Amino acid sequence: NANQAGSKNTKSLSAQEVQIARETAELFKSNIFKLQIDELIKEVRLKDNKVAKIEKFLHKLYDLIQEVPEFKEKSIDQVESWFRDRKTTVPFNDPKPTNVNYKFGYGKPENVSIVGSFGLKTAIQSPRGLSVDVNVTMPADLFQQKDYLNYRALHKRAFYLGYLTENLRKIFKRENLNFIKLSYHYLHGDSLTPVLKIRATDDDLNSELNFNKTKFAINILVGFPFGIFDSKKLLPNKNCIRVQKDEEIELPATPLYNSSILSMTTYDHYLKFLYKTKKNAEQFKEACILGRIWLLQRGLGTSIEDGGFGHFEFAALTAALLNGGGEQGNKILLNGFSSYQLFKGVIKYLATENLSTDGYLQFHSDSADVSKYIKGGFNTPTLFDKTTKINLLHRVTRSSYDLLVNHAKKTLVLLNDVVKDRFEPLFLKNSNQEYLKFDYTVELNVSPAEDDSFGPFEKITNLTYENYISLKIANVLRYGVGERLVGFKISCDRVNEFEISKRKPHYSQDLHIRIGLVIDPQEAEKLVIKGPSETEDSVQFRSFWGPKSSLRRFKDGTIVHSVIWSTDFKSPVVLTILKYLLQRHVKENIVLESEIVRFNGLLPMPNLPSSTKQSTLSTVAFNGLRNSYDELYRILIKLELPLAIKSVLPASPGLRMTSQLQPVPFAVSSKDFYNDLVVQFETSVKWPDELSALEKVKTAFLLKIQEILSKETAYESHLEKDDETVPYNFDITTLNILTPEGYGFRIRILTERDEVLYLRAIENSSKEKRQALESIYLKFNRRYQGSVTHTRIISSIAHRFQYYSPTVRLFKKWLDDQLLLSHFSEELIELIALQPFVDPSQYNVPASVSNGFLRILFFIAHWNWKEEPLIMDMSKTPDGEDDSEIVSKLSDKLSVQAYQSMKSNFDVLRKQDPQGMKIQFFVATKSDESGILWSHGIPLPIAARLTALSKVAVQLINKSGLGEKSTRLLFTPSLGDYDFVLKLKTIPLAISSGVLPSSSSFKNLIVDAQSYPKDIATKFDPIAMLVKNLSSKLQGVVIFSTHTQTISESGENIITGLFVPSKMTQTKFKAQIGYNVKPVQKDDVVINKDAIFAEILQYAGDLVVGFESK
Amino acid sequence: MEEVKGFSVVPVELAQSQWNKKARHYMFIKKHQSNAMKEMAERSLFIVNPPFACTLSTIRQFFKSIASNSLVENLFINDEDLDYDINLTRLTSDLYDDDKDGQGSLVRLPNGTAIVVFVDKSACSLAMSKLKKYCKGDELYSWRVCGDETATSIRMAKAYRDRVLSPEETSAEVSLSLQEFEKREAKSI
Repeated sequence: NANQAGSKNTKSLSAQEVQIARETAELFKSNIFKLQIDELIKEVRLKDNKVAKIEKFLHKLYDLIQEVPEFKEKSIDQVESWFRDRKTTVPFNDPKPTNVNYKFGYGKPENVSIVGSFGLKTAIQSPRGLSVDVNVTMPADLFQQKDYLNYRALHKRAFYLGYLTENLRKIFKRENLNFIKLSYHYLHGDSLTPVLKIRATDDDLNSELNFNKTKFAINILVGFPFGIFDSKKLLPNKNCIRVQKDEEIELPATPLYNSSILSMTTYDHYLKFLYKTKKNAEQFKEACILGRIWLLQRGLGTSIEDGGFGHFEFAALTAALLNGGGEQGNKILLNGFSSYQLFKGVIKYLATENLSTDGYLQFHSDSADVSKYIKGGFNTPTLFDKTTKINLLHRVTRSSYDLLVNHAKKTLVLLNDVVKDRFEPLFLKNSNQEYLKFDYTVELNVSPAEDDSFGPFEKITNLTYENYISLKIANVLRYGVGERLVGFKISCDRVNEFEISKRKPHYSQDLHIRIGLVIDPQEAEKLVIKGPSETEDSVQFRSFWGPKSSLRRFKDGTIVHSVIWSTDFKSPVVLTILKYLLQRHVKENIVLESEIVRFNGLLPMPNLPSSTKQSTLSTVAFNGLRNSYDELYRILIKLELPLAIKSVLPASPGLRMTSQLQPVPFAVSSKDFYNDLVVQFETSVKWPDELSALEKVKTAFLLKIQEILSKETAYESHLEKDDETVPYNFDITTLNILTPEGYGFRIRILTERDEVLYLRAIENSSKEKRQALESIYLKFNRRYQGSVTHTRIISSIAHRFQYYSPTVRLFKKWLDDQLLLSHFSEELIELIALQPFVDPSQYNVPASVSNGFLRILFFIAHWNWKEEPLIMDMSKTPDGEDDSEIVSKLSDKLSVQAYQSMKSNFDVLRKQDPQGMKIQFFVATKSDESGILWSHGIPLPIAARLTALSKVAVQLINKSGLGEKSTRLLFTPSLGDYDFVLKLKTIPLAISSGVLPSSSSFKNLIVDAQSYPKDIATKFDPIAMLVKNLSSKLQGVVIFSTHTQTISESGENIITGLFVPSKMTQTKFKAQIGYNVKPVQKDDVVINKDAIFAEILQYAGDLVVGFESK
Repeated sequence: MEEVKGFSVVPVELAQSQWNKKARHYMFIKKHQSNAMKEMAERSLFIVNPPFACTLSTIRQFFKSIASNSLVENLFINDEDLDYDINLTRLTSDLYDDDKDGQGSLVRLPNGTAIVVFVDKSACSLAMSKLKKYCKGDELYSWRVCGDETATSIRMAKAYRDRVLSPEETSAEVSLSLQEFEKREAKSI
């Protein structure tokens, strides 16, 4: 008891210590961060000369705007006739004004000013270029009080903009500013807010006013005077478009319309608000810049398409939180905070406070009145300005808000990480790639013209068909598959820019819609959707699901309305549901297209009953193997031997759910057919103290086991010689067992002496041989110790991350298709494949095969292994957000110390081998701090090829997407890079490898194998043996590659060869030359390629059906 | 070229096939010189760059064709880059004395070399002189990498089968080597 109390004490002490250490680290991190931030801000700052250049033009523009003549009190007919035969058209909204009795006019602007981030000086360089917003405020005398209704103000504004545009066009021409290009543009994708965009082309670059090289564009916004309309009448819940004369019918609210109108009155106002905040909080400007970079890297922005939350909203939120933000109005941010603290505060607020369903934030933009978090939300993201009555998040939909919060949560985890430097994923890495962000995307086409459901009410609330259909799909998704999703994004091909001669952009007939899905891996493949019970109101549920819904009794006795789905090997359940729902609620004959179906289809299907009906997540095949192992274990552990068996530990890909092919009974041709098991006996002092004799004693034990098994059980077994596992240990034998269920196991024995002896061998070796002996030790360690630990950890991880197993299998298939798999240890591949799962950083844990696979490729393509170690924390919880949970699990977590020690192992390694000639991939985890256990011994050209192929793959996807053709290309090896290629005979081993052939013509040939072949050796792949022999005899001269598994029924295989470059030069003859040469002149010799080819071809004999060499 | 650094340059011909033209393989051969196992060394030839996967049978066929009276007794070859200095038994036990294992030092061959042992010294000398003559002639020996062996797929299946150990033989071998180990241990006490 005393002991227990003691340990408890130390535990709580250490938690305290940890807290202190954490805070210290946090502080340290904050300091480092500050340096990095300063550096970054310096880098993204606008260049002075560019600013000067654009300012010069802006001055000129200001003067020119003043020259536009007045034009007042015109009727719509006069307006139309004025514009007739001119090059400009007024960008009127739909419905275009006809027969209206109010007047249009142009008067000198009340004000012309620079607003937005350029005005606030928080603008940064951006690859997409930058827009300078110039607000031209219309004079108040052009308006009447009621103009906020029925588009009147908007039509007046459109005329004002059109008239200004036409005049500017003429003035620019007069001034010979021929480099200028004018177009209309919907500001932030809002079709109610057309603005004039001014760009500079590269014509007449000599003009001192040409700002082409600055990459700036100028937006001329046209604004209304502040406070011109009664803002209460434009609250989000009010209707301001009276489509119906009938007063009986209540008209729907027009929040988008209302916000647009109000926003047009506040361009200058918000600049002042933010400017005042900047004066008060020293680091506000830097925090806004950080926010801006953060948003940019995630593809988030103010426009509807980018989620509606951009740098303006970020800045306004920061400003609001400097004035309060808590429920009692307590300040979330303080004026004295550093930029890092401000940024982190905002992110934390976004990540933890719900501004949509639970409550909202209200602030004042004209006074220092406190901002408050008010409980009870409007079910729409809300950041409400009491002064202007605008919800600044009016462009943020619920689904884009979910994604924003998800981004904030991921970021908060990164900001809280005290172990690793996270600056890069936070700010430097662009994470706005759809195929990395989303688990998969679904594409579909709708035709707006045929959609009758888009009626007048829908038009006034949603303004555009794009908004309408996006919202409709979003609602269907949220209700139908909401729980299975972390978030989703719906995007359409919106056209926001059009010529000034057009009233509005041209739309194509079909609207293309993409839905990006972030899946919740725990929920994704569930088959049941439970609804209300019979007693509750089930109308909504039943009408939503239609004929799919039925009343069912469940195991726990409840009877509820529910929907049942079935799994499929290609289509995830979410996709199946989506298809059903969109067909039911959007369009009956809708066609959904998704890359996930193609990627799932790439996984070889096991030849098991009903495997086409199994989900990608199915572990049925692996369970079969596992059960067989359990059975064998029970038998082995009871055997009566001179020493009792203490443990039988699994050490194979099949037993950790990562084998390239799923295990299938009697599938003897699979390279993973035999599953390694490491047997240990109870402790004994009697093991011989010499390696060869030790192996002989082990063999004696295996012989004994074999004898008992063959006498007393239905297990078949035989001893095999194993001269590959540990080089120079020629005495290893294994016991290979065939179980009655159809699985193969390979037993090797580990004793407490083995490691001692291998280490002794290193100690006794001469200096020159030390490295070779170290490598022998590593090989021993791999098979006998490392792979046992690895199997234990990976199997638990494969259960925790359900998509890991199919992802690894696809990654292995890719490597094998690219002829690389044979060069790497399976364990190394599995560790690399783990990267996106244990360290998703700015993304979520992959929840689809395609996303997992592509994230691995992306990681490798960008992994500069010469300078960066891969150090992984295997204890990470999938979300890693819950701080308290992290503290309680702290014991298995990677500590700063452990991380640093692995990192210093890497530094030592690179000091000896700076170019990574010997060891390229440093992959360390808590169970292998050396980082080289699984990665040593890879030929440099192969490592380089993996990197190069991943880069090419990523480029291909970036360029061509994930269509059928590029997916096929991704998995096709490019043979042109090899020095020679042998094409080999068809050896139909797919079925005996346990693969269900994909083409139906073979299906009738499939016999469910229920027994082992008479001569098992005839079912082993002769090509694997051929390559093994060729490689051992030509090692150091030729690197051979081949496919390790036969997956296609045609069974075609190839062997490729790459000459080692160092052997290619002419050299002096000597007896130790070691490779095939021919004499050239005098004592000089050179590699004899023709002889090598001829000999390889003769050796490969009848297996060859073709040969090509460079 | 007939000689390089004291080695006779011995070409053999590799037949053409559907996919490659005729090619020549060059062996570099001289009389073996070694003080270890002197008697055997004196009736041996040292070959640098023996043809791919050279076996006793293929080398026998070769010498049979150029010096039919020189009978080949044995072939030692290192064509898998074995490092004879790495001996795990010796490195893990000081009881193991490999000097007794006389052949050990004879067959410590560099990678890509072989020693052909003839039945006697004269057979060896004869072979060497016939080799020199052969090199001067026009007719080249047509080397067949796998001799007259069967189809590759069958050979590979056999290679798999050969890994399987017979329980009886293995059992006998295990007890023999354990007896030897015990002897060594007993001696050391």
